[in-house]
Amino acid sequence: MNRRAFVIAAGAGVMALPFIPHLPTAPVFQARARTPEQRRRRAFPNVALLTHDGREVHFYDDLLKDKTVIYHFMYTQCRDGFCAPTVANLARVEKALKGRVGRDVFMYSITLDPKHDTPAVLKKYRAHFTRNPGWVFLTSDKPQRIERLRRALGYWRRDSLQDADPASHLGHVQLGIEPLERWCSAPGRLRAGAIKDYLCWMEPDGERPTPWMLADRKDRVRTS
Amino acid sequence: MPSRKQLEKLTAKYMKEIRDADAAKLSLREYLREGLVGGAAGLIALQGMRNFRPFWAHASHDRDGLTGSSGTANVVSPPNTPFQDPLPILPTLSQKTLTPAPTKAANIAAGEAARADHQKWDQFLPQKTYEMEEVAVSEQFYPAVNGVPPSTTWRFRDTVNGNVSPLVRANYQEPIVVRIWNRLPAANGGFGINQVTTHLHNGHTASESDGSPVDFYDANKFKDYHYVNMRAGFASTHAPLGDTRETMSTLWFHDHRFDFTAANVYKGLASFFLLFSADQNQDTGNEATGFRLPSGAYDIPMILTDKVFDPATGQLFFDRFNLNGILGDKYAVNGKIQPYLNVYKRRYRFRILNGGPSRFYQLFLSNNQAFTQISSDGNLLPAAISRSSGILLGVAERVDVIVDFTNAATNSRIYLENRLQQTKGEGPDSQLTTPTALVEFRVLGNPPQADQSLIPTTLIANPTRPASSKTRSFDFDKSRDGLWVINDQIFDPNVISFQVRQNATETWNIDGHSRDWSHPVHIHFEEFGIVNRNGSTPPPEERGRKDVVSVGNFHGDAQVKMQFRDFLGHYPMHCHNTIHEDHHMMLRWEIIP
Ligand SMILES: [Cu+2]
Repeated sequence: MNRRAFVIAAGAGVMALPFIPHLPTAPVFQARARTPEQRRRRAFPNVALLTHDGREVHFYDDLLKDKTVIYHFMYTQCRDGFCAPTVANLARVEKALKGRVGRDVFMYSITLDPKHDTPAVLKKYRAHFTRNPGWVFLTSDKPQRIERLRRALGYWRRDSLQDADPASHLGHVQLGIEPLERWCSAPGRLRAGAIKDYLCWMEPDGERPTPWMLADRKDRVRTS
Repeated sequence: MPSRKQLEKLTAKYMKEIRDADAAKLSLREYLREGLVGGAAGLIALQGMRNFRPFWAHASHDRDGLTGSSGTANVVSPPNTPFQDPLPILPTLSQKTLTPAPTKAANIAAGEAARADHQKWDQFLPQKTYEMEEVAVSEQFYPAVNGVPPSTTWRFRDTVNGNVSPLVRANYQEPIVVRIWNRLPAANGGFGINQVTTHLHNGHTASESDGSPVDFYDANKFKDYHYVNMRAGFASTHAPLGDTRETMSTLWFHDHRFDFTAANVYKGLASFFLLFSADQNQDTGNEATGFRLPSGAYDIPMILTDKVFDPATGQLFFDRFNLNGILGDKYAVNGKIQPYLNVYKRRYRFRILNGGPSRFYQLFLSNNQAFTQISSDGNLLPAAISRSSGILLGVAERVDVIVDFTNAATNSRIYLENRLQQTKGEGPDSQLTTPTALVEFRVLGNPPQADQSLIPTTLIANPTRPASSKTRSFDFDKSRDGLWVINDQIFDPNVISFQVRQNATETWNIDGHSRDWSHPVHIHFEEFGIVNRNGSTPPPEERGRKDVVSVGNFHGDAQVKMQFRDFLGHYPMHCHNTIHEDHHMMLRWEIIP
């Protein structure tokens, strides 16, 4: 019996049970009002982190609030995952944003390995990729803060073995316009130009794609 | 320490390797196994690599703490009292003379979004026109007795009378234009984006009117969607009327802005499009004619959506960080949580749509009466099927059923129930559980007029498709970096993955790969036939025309066959668990001459 048949057969068992309707027992709800500013703040843990320069910053107050940002998780010793290629790819995104990074777009690479990735280690690693003060690498001397951030931002897996596998950490970057509460994600290994598009197309007065049927489509078809 | 120049070289090398791997169709797993990441290894060597395991590898996680609505957010909605409010009946969109009149080329000066010229415009000039606007509205999902305040949702609205969430009633051989204005605010209440593209799901629609994921437009612009309402084959194999076996009945439309589809549809941008076929005396919308299906007030579309409400504010809540799939703990039908419907002792047609984002249903009637299933994905079946052991409904799937209340006791209560267990967003569990009532049917008594409807034995025969000229295979899987992928590829909004020839017939293998999740895979444009399910003939309910096929989990794999007739242009294929779709399980293909 295949598993599809199993579902249906199990149905026959449940059918024998009498149906008990839900009884109305709900108390009257007391709604608490929340301003958009409160909602925005509640969406992110405002944990204290250390920059690659050893400066203490708060994740929401200092890094996100009122800003357009790109963030992701990585660690410098990632051997067989995607960290180095992703960081290298983000270096291309930084270029593709043509001087905006540090001015009105900010980039954050947050280490998953704060014990090893001290500010000094991050600083050295970062120097391979950027000199732009608008791209900050982040760590903490309290690993549980990073863990809290990782979970709150959805960089975890349901499978605990996979979740603990350093090579299986999630490879997406999140792109957001914090004051507008617009957030999306792009794969870290997507073409850098497309990651830039994900961000700019979200902006109220940003660039827009040309409708496909009107676009110059040369070089954009992968044949198969 | 390498110089900046050397690093640029290394960087370029990684990216070249990744592109080469893509070109060679190497999976990332193979790519890494083959040791192709010399660039990365080289760089790491520079960092002084030691043998280590990161700290979180040793951390113990409370896995139970991760279940619930979404995993990261674990939100429990305020309680509701069931069966307080009547099931909302979706109003019909009104005809309206459009000013300015719709045109073949986009009317940019009047505020229309850029698009290619309408294909086949001159042959199919609109006979009727309509107008909707997408707006923020205040909507009460809970009954008043619970004291939960209304939520701000985004809905389609009829510009003639202000009716919210109207459905379109259209007829074959009657071309129409639906003008859709984007009047959404920049302030999103926490999720969604005011950029839209409306897809008519299962429409045999030209690409420029299909609502492609990348062809979105901003607030205070409109787009004219041209629906010719002709059957597939009308300009090719079965000119001039099309193949009468391609008649469709229950379609729906919803926002499709890539990366925001889950949020925008969850926020309310979805409704029905009913296509009637009185021209061929099929599904006429009149129970005295054609197939004599229950009609008028006895033909009731229902969109099933599961939602979460913030336990403090009572507002509709969406977990933006979720990658697995979102499960709601409140079941809304046509925008009300657990409503009731007064019914007479007669036959009803219910058009049931799983509006997502991620939940699957196995639908039953509480008295264990069988449903008479007459459609799969809104396409009438060759013959009605009696379904006594439940109807499995994946995201975006539609089923038309006839429920006969003729012999129900006056004042009795019968419930439409979901009995499928689902504990994670990735897909349902392989077992049933305690029923959850979705709608309460209250049996009033005899109908004011005699029931003229019938339960037809034969409906619409399946089309015969020519031998296919090409077979393609698609593996719906999760990549090692945790993204939902098709053939290890992620969605790139600037790329077309492959091209098909107009009027060709192809066979596509849709593989679920792992059994840890379900993917309700949707292919735009022409509905398909499932020719093979896990190596054998599909079960009876999957032998009709479909536009969604679920793979993975207990569903297994499927082989589908379809044609690409009459129009040209680009169309997507994607998982319709919209969280998976937005996390990159989508590709686009193109029909070329
Ligand atoms: Cu999926």
